[in-house]
Formats: sequence, structure tokens, C-alpha cells
Amino acid sequence: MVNNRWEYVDSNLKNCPPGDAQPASGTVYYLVKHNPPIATDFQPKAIRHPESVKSVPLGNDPDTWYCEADGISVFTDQKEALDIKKEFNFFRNWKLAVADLTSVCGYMKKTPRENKKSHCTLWVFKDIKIWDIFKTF
Amino acid sequence: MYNILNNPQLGELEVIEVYEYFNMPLLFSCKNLVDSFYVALCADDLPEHDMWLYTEISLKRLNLLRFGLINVHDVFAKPEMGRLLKATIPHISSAEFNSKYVAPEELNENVFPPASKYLAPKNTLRVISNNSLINK
Repeated sequence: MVNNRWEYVDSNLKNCPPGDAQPASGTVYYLVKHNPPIATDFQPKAIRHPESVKSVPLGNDPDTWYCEADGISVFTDQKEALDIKKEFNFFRNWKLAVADLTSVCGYMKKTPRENKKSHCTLWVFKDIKIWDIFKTF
Repeated sequence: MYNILNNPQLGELEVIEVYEYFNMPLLFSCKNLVDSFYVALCADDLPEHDMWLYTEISLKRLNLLRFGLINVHDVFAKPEMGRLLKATIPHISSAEFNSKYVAPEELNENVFPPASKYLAPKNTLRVISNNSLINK
């Protein structure tokens, strides 16, 4: 894939987004700090604070880890997004946002986490104002 | 430069396992260069900085957490060493990083995950030769 199609993907990463990522589709949930959402709500941590994702956990493939850190976390299960809010005081003032994604938004892949099985990674195309697509409720 | 994986008290930290993730690790185990184990928690979003908590933890207790036999709340609210490291990480890089040891009683109870929060059971984490770790 050509990395310059992507909003935030590091062009030095090989095979990112991965070949088995699919055109974005379906209803997904996300947490945003601002209401209405703004561009910075959708900046991956790998861009804003690269040090926070620089250490690859035990048994993880580095390429996969860094590539997923260049995407953003969305959930297909609303409850799991709300669980993040409930379990982490950090997100107490953040808002739940929802979007119906289509292939013009970018690519996504199911990337289940240990306690959040509906977690997906979304890699957003350049020129897409993804913050306009998500609505808080 | 100090950050969530590098601070004056603990030094450079290496992530072992990530238990919760939203755009970045929110709850994870880690170890430093002298193989002391910690669990780190993304605790609060404040106007000018993020607050992170680190609790030093024995491998035995870490495995109890990993097995789902103790909750995340108690790992932070009842730390084995009686103290937590509180790090405040500024939103802008030019601002001052700060970290200090605090007693859990000094913190608002809300910063700890709810008592109902347990991890899904996992394999045993073991130290093998050369201080490397396996989870089998």
C-alpha cells in the first residue's frame, strides 16, 4: 500500500496498514475529549506522544505494534467503549462518539485487545475530516 | 526527556504486557533495568497534564492480578510497598515533568479503577534465564 494515502501512518513502516485490513465499514464507537470532536481527538498517540508506544510488549510483533499505534482505536461494541470510560477516571469527562464508516474513511482491521474484543484499528485516509464524521451523544 | 516509560525514580521502563488499550496502553505491566516490576495506570486527565500511577509489584502478586484473583483497584489502593509513584506528564513538552512517591490515601479514590475491574485469566508469567520473561 502507498503510505502517502494515509493521514498519520509512518512511511517508514512496511506493510502498514496491513494487507488484511479492510475498507472501513459499519458503526463504530470512539471516545473524544472535545464536543464537537476536533482533529486532535483523532491523532494517534504514536504521533502526539511517540514515547508512549515505543516499547513493544512481550511476544508482540514490532511491525504490527507500531502499525497499530499509527491508527486509532475504535470499538464495534458500544459497551466496550463505555467500559473504558467507567474503568478509567482519565476519560470521565470524555464523550462517546459514533460514526457509520464507509470505504472513503480509510481501512480498518479487527485488533481485539485482552479485555475489549470489539477493538478495531482504523487508519484514516488523508483529506478525510474524520472528526466531522463522528457525532457525540 | 522524561515520559511515561522513563522517569527519575524508576528509570527506563520496558513494557511486559498491556491489559487495556485505547490509542495507547492505559494499563500495563513493565520492568526497569534492575528487573523491578511495576503496573502502570493512566489515572487522570487534568487541564495541563496527564497523571500516571506506578505501583511496584512482586512477580507473585503480578501473577495474582494476571490470573484475575485480585482486582486492579487493590493493586493501586493497597500497594505492597505502601506507596505509589505519581507522575504528572505535561501536555506541552516545554512544561515541567514531575514525579513523586505518594501514599494511596493521598489520592482521590476515583483515580483507581473500580473494584469490579479484574483481568481475564492468563498463563503464568515466569522469569527464566538471563532475567527474560515467558508467559507459559
